[in-house]
Amino acid sequence: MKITNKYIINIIVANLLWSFIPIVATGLFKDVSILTILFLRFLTAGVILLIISILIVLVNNYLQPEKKISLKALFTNLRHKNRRFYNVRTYNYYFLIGFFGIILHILFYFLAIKKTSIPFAMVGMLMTIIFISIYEEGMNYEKFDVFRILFIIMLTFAIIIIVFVSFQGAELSGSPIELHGFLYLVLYAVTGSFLYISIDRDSFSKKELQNINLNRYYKIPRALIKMSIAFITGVIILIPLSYIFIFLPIDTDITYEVESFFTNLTNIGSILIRWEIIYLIVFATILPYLLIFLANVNWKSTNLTYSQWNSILGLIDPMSTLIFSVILVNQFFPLEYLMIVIVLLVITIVFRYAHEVKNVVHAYIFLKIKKGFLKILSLKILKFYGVRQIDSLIGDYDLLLHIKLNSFKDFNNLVNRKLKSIEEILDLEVQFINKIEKN
Amino acid sequence: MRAIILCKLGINVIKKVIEEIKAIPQIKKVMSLTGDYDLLAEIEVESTEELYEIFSEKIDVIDGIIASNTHVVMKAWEK
Repeated sequence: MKITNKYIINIIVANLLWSFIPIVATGLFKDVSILTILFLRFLTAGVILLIISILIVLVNNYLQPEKKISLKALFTNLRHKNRRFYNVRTYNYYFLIGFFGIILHILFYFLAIKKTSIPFAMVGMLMTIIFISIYEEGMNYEKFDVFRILFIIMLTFAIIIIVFVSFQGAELSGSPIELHGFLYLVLYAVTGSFLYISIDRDSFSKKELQNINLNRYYKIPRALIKMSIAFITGVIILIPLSYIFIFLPIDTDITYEVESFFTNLTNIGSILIRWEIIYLIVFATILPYLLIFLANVNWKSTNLTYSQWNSILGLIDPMSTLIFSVILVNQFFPLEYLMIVIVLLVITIVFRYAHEVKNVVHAYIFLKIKKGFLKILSLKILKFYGVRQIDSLIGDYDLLLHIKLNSFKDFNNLVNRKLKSIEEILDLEVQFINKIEKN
Repeated sequence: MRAIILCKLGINVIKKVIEEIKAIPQIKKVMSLTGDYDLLAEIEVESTEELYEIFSEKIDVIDGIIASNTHVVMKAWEK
C-alpha cells in the first residue's frame, strides 16, 4: 500500500515539536509555577491563533473576493448544536475540550513530570492509547482485532520497562517516585483520552457546509478559532478555580502551584519573554496546530483518514521525548533499555497502522432520490459522519456518496439507521472499494 | 467537467483492464470494487465532446469490459 500523502510530514513535524515540551518546561519548573506556564502558553497562543484566523479571513477576502469567508458566519456557528457531542452548543463543546482535554491534561502532565521524571511521565501517553482502545471496545466502536491486541501487548511491555528503569533511576538518585506522581499520571491519561476521543467530534451546520464548498480554506480559520476558544476559555477558568484552592484547608501540590502563580503575576512580563515560554507558545502550540490544520484541510484521500494517521503517528511524541530527555537533559535511561522501548514503540506504530488499514471501510453509495430534493438532501447527508464528499450526478443515479469510516458498526449506522430512514431516498446501492488503483 | 464511469468486467481481466484505464491521462482515479460493478473510474475532461472521444476511442475498446455506466458530475459537495 503506497503512502502518497505529503501532509503526513506535517503530523510528524508537529509531534517532534511537541516532544520537546517536557524538556523545555522542566527548565521553568524551578522558579515558575505550572499554572503560570499554562496561563501564559495557552492565553497568548489562543489570542495569537484568533488574530491569525481573522488575518487569514481578511487576506482571503482581499485576494479572492469571489470566494469570501464570512467572519460573522465563523462566530455565529459557535451557537450551532453539536450533534456529535451530546447536542451541546459548539462554544460549550470547545470549552469542555479546552478545560478538561487541554488545560487539565497538561496540568497533570507537568505535575507528573515534576513529581517523577520525564521518562516516567511517558507512561501516561502510552496508557492513554490503551484507555482509548478499552473505551472503543466498551462502547462497541471498534473490536479488539489481532493487531490491536498485539499493539496493546507491545505498549504494556514498553510501560513495564519504563516503570522499571524509572524506579531504578529514582533509587540511584535518592529521590523516590512519589505516589502523587503516579496519580497525576493516571489523571493525565484520563484527560488525554477525553481529548483524543472528543477533539474530532465537530458537526457542521448546513450554512458551514455551503461555506466550505465555496472555499475549502474556510476550515482553517474555523479550526484556529476552535483551538483559540478552547485555549482561552479553558485557561481563564483557572483563575477562579485557583482562588478555591487557596481557601481549601488542605495543602496539595496544586495549592503550592497556585501560590507561586500569584507570586509570578508580579513579574509576568519578564517570564513571558523567557525563551522557554516563547518556545512553548510558538513552537509547541501555534506552529504545530497550524501544521496539523493545514494537513487536515489538504488531506488527500489515501487509504487512511487524517485522524487515523494522526493517532498512529502520535507515538512519535513519547518516543522522541524519551530519546531527547536522555540526550539533552541527562535523564536516567540506560541505552539498552532505551533501544528496547524504541523498538517496541516502532512495532506498535506498525501494528496500529495494520489495525487501522484492516478496519477502514471505504465505499461509494449511489442514491436515487425524489424529484425536487437534490440540494436539500445533499446538504443533509453531507453532515452525516463518514460522508466525505457528495457528487450530484446525471445518469441512472442522482447522488454519489464518498464514504470512509473506521468500522463496520459506523457503516451500518450510516446506511441502515440514517440513510434508510430518509423517505426521499428511493434507491440505494453500495459499492465497496477493494483497492485504490490510481488517485 | 468530471464524470464517473462504472464498469462490469469479464473473468480474469481486472489487472489488464486497470492497467489500460490507468494509462489514460484524463482518468484521475481508479478503484476496484465489490458490488454490482467491478471498477470505478473518475475522468476529468474539458467538454462532452472530449468525454465522448476518450470514452469511444480509449475505454469502450478495452477488451474485458462487458458493460459500463457513465454519470456526469454536476456538482461536488465536500466537507
